[in-house]
Order: sequence, then structure tokens, then C-alpha cells
Amino acid sequence: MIERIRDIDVKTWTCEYEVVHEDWLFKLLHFKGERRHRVPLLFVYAFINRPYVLDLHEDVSVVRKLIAEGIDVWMIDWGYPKRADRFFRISDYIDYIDFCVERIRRERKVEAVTLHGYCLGSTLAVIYSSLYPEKVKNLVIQTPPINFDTENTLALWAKHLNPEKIVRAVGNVTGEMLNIAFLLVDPIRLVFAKYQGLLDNIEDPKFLKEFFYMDFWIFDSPAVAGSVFEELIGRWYHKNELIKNEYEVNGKKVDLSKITMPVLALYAEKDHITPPSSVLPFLEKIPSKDKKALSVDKGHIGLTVSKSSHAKLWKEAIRWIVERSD
Amino acid sequence: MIEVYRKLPKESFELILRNIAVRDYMKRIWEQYNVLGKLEYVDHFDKMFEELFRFFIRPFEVIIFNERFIRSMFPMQDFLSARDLISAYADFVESLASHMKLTLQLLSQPIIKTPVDKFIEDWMDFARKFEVPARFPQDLPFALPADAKNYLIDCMKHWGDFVSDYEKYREMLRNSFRRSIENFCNFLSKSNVNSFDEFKNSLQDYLAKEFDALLKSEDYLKLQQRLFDALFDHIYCLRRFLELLLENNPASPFATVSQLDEAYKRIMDLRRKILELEKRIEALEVRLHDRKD
Repeated sequence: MIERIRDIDVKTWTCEYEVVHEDWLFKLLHFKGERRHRVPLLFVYAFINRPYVLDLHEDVSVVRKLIAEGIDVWMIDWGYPKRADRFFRISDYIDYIDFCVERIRRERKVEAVTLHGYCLGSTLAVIYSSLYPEKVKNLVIQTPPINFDTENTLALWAKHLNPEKIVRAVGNVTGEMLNIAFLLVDPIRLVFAKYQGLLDNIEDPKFLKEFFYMDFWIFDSPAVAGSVFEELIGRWYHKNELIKNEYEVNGKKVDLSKITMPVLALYAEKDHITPPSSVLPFLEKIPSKDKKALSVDKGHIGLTVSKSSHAKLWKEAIRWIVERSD
Repeated sequence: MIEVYRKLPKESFELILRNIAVRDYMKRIWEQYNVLGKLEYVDHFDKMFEELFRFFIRPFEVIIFNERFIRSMFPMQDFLSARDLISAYADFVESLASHMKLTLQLLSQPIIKTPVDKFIEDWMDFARKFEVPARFPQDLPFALPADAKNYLIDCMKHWGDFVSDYEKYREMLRNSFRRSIENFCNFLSKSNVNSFDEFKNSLQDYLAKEFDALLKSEDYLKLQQRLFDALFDHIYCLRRFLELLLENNPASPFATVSQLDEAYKRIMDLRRKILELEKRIEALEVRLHDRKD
């Protein structure tokens, strides 16, 4: 078994990109490819994991598929916050999205971009779209937590946390702490069944490759900046401010009635982190006339990296994006 | 093995090793069931529990070292008990010496310094060496900087709360594990499980069902909240206590985390102001440019 594991060679980020801007912690990436559609797409990934899950390996790379369709793909990398970054706030993330959108608009001479959020990146994308609707042509939200008043274990735990106590003790919430929490919400499946499955399939090189690509990504967890964690738990999970139109950024109210652009929601039926109830009330609430939801019978990560999801959901999702990119 | 340890994420490495051990225990249990046709709670289940939950329990155990650390800094109990012992022994030696001195005086002519006097002198010299450290624990409350005493008291209080809840937490997990295994054993006594895979999958289902319910239960949520509150309060108070010792020591060459945080906060506020100014300048430049056009 040791030999088999030793032979695994995990190389993520399969598509070529360049870092076009770097600001302290944040980076703006641009993927190389032939641009055949006018409207660029900006990925806004979650700040609690690394964005390369969208370009994990060639078989399941969402980025590769978009580039192949002629979409001009950009991505924000939120980096790895250190102690010095503990006072970053959600508003700093929104400001950087605005900086990136402005830069893309200027460079590509377009009025608006397609904003594609993933997980907590979707939450940021929704906030941004309500604050600057004129700059967002299409909004794609993937496994999005917007309604935080759900009954999944993670949400219940979050509602029983005291974020101020945690942050004043440890500064940032480290990746290791988050890893343990994310495993303990479903210990039997994620600690027992998953690794027993690995032992069952240890002779299958394909299984091993996919397993370890995922495990490398899962445990490559940045810390969450202290002040961001306080907002995430206190204002989103405890008070559910976003869906109630009570959240504010830099003194501006986040009003979901401003979401009038086309919206595509991608969610997973068996998602234990952001269940369907995290997004469906949002879809009902927004006034957009062009809104669509696509789901898959998978979990939170399976939606992005499973082959069945790529065979069906992603084909349809990319077609939706392409149709609205000129 | 070292190469694999270096290559894999540490979590993957640990979970693989633990699951190899778990599989080994499961196989032994399965063999037992296969021979007897029934199953009862056996020791191997306890070992499985330890392997599966060690990953989650270890971070708490690491925290326990904090308490050891404080003890090593202020070993009050050790000092006090040693001091009592030395004091009792000194009383004994003193009375023995008086007795010997009187005996010698009766039997011989008085001399300037008897061997007993010499012994007492030497002994008192030796005992004096303990005086400063022996008084230190008593003087400590007066020697601490302002506020540090409260952080130290709070730190110990939260530690007590944490230890008490941690025991309950472990028991809660263990009881759920035990309950699911008992249900699994009942299931086995009524069913015919023919393969190890089927055995393993059924066990997994019983465990998952029990833990899904436990981790959402009100009792668990309340206990976990208390545990975390006590833990993070303890960490904070301990850190502040240590920081105050450092900050009030004029010879300390170190800036504390709280002092650095204050600096980080100011830098971050300045950064926001600079970004805002940059935006305004850019907007002005655009307006100026438009006017020229």
C-alpha cells in the first residue's frame, strides 16, 4: 500500500494562468485561452478553501470546460490569512471584488461581467450583485449559503458558537481547527466510511488518484481571518441578516430586491454544509425574471468534482453561461 | 513510511493509519461473529472507538499541556509541601540538637563551639537557601502586575470548567458509540450477515444513525458550547496573564501578541483609508480627463 500511495503525484491547477494583480493577501488570476464571447467570467471562491478545486485535474476541471467554450475566465484567490490579517473584514473582500470587476471592465471594455460564486464565495457574489447590480451581467451561485437558518449539523453548531470568545483567544480560526470541525460534523462517513473505502480500493490506481487529489485539496485549508469569522458566525449564522435584507457593507444596505440580473443556482441534494434550504428561499425572494436552479444528487464537493455531475449539470450550467455571455 | 508521511496531508496520513487499525479490529470482531453466529460488546469495539475519536479528542488533550505549563511556572503545591516537610524536619533537628547539646554539657566541660553548634549552623545555612523560593508562592499575589491576578484566577476557573465538561463530552461520545454497537449486535442476532463487507456497511449505518442524532441533539449542542466557551476563555486568560507578566517586565525584549494585534489593527485601518483615497483620486482624474476632452 505504501508504494501505491508513494506513487501518487498530485498536480492541481491544470490550466495556465497569470497573476494580474496582487494586493497584500488577495490575488486576481487570469486564465489563458481563446476568448470567443464578450462577457468575461469572474470566479469568486470561498475564503475557507482553495479555489483550485475548480481546476483540480483535467477530467473534472470546470475552468477548463469554460475556457474550451471560449469564455474569458478570471478568478480571485483569497490567499492564506496570517495573524497580521486578522482584522480583514467582509467589506474588504467586497471591495476587492469591486476592484477586480472594475479592472476587468476596463481591460475588456465591457459594462458588466458574469460573477460566479462558490460556497461562501456565492455569499460574497450575492452581496456584491445587490450593491453593484449594474456591473453584474449574470450571477452564478454554486452551493451557496444565503439563508443560514437551516437544520444541518454545521449550521446548528455555528448557531451554538461564541465567535468573539474564539477570536479573542486565537486571533484567526486556523485551517486545522476548521478541518476538525468539518470532519466532526459527520464523523462516521468522513473519518470511517471514506477511509475504509480507500482500503477497499487500494488496488485501483484511478480511485487512488481521485481520492488523494480530493484529500490534498480538503486539507489545504486557509485560516479564516478573525473579524471575518465573527461576521460569518455572528451576523450570518446567528442573525441570518443577509436573507432578511439587514446586512450592511460600508454603511450600504444589502438589498436582495436589487438582484434583477439572470441568476443560475447550482446546488446539491445531499449537501451537508449548504443544504438546498440554504438557497431555495433566496431564489424565491429575488425579483430576477431569468432565474434557474440546477441540482445534482451529490454532496457539497461532489457537485464540483464528480464525473456524473460533469456529464450532466455542468454541461447545462456552462450552456446557460455561454448563452448569456454575448 | 516517512516518505508517505512527508508527502500526504498530515490528516490523511493519520486517518489512513487509524483506519487500518480499525479494519484490523473489525476483522477480528467479524471472525468472532462468524464462528459464534452472534456478537456482544467486546474490547475491540473500545479500541475502535479510541482510533476513530482520537483524531477529535487529541486537540483537547494538547490543551491539557497548558495546565502542566502553569504548574511548572508556579509549582505552589510542590513548594508548599516541601516547605512544610523541611520546616518539620528543622524542628526535629533543632530539638535533637538541644538534647545532644545538653547531654554533652553534662558530660564535658563547656567549649566555645560544640560539634552540635556547628551542625546547627550548617543546617540553618542549608535551610536558608530555601527561604526565598519557599516564600515566593506566598508573595506571588502581591508580586503580580495589575489585572494579571484576575486573569490567573479566571484562567484556573475556566480550566476547571473545561476539564469537567471534557469528561462529560468524552462520555457522551463513548455512550453513543456503545449504544450504536449494542443496536448493531441486536441486529446481527436477528439477521444473517454473510460477508465482511456487509458486516462493515451495517456497522457503519448503525454508527452513522446514532451520531447523526447525537451531534444535532440539544444536550450535545449545549455541552459543546460550554466546552468551547471554557476552552477559549481559558486560552485567552492564560495568554493575557502571561502577556501582562512580559509587558510589566522592563527587561522583556518581546512584544506580546496583543500589542502586535493593536499594531495590525492600526495598519489595517490605514490601509483602508489609503485605498479609499486612491479611489477618490482615480475618480477625480477621470473627471479631469473628461473635462479636458
